[in-house]
Amino acid sequence: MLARLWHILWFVQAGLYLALSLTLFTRDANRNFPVFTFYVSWMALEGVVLIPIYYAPFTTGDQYAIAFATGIAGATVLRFAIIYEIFTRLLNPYPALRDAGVSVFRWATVALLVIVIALAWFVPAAGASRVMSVFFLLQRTVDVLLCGLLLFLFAFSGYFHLSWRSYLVGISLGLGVLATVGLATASIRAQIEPLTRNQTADIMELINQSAYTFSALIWIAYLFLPERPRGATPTRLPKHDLETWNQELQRFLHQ
Amino acid sequence: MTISIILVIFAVFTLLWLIRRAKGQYLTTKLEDHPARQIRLVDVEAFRNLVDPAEEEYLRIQLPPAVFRKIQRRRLRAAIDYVSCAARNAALLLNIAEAARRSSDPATVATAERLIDNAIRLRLYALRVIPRLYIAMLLPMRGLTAVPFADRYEQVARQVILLGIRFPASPKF
Repeated sequence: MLARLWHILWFVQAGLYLALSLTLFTRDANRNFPVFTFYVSWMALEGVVLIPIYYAPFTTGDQYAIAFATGIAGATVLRFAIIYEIFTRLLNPYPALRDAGVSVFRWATVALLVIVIALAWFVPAAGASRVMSVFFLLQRTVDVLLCGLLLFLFAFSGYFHLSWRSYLVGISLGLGVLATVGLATASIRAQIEPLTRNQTADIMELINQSAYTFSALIWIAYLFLPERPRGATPTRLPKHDLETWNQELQRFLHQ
Repeated sequence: MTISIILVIFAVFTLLWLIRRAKGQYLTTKLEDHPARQIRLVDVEAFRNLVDPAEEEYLRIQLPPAVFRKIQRRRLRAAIDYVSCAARNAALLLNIAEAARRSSDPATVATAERLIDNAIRLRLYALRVIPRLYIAMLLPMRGLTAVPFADRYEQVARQVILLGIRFPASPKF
């Protein structure tokens, strides 16, 4: 039953990514978010390639494993590139913050790298299936880094009250869903992955697959949401404050 | 396994936090509706006095070391409050300037952009100044190097006045 559901979700996910990829191109979103568009197209292509390999009787398990590993490696690199794309888009309207922001972003990445390497070193994989446990350990490491960068992104923009375009929020949220659900499932599976698949592994796989589907739905929904203008509604500054500030300024100019 | 449980909890809290922040970015919050009402006045002269190295030197000569340390810590605590308040005002002004940026008048847009630039610089500067002030609180005898924070705040205040004159507003206040 779980395996069947997982297969259905896989087809749905592949269809959604394909539809999203086409929508991004037809709406010219690829100009504003080239890396994100490339990622979605990559995921769509991954589905188109992996599904036939999985079901075709003439393909081997090794061929599937190579295609799967290539897909996931590319997707991982692209996810980090998306976060950088979001960050640079966010800083674009704020020239005063560009240099300092990029520098802080790099330092935050270095700090997070140290943390995730230490985590992988001190809490290694411990599942019965050695290969799969190491795979989930790598996924856990990547997802901790992604979660950390997303937290940094929101905290940084929150501190400077940066204005987000609606679709940037959607992209970040979708990535957040992928990274957090991936982190939760990979953390458990890196420790308990059995030699042969059991129900726990199936449930984890299903949760992970649902996260991919849910992220695609978030991105599609945000693509059709109207752009909300940021900033306060036009209101005059309080008169008393302006007057006092004016007095302060007069005093300053006459010094 | 304990670390795995901690990571799962971390993942859940991260997701909830991201959802909350994403919701906050999309929906207008109450605070963002009336940012101008929340601006608090900063007495720039009082702040200058608190971080004036000459004033500090005078107190150091006049007071016994123990009393000077106590007084200096209180002065620096007050200076931190001033910087925090100015940084908070800058954040609120960012919201106002962001709205003014959408104006049809190019002069208003230019003023708003300058205000955004300076408000951001002020908050960046606050990030650097506050740790310095805390270190000075821990080592009050070391002496404080000049903190040109007040000048930056006054620059922002000047632009607020300019924006206040130019920005056509609805009679909400």
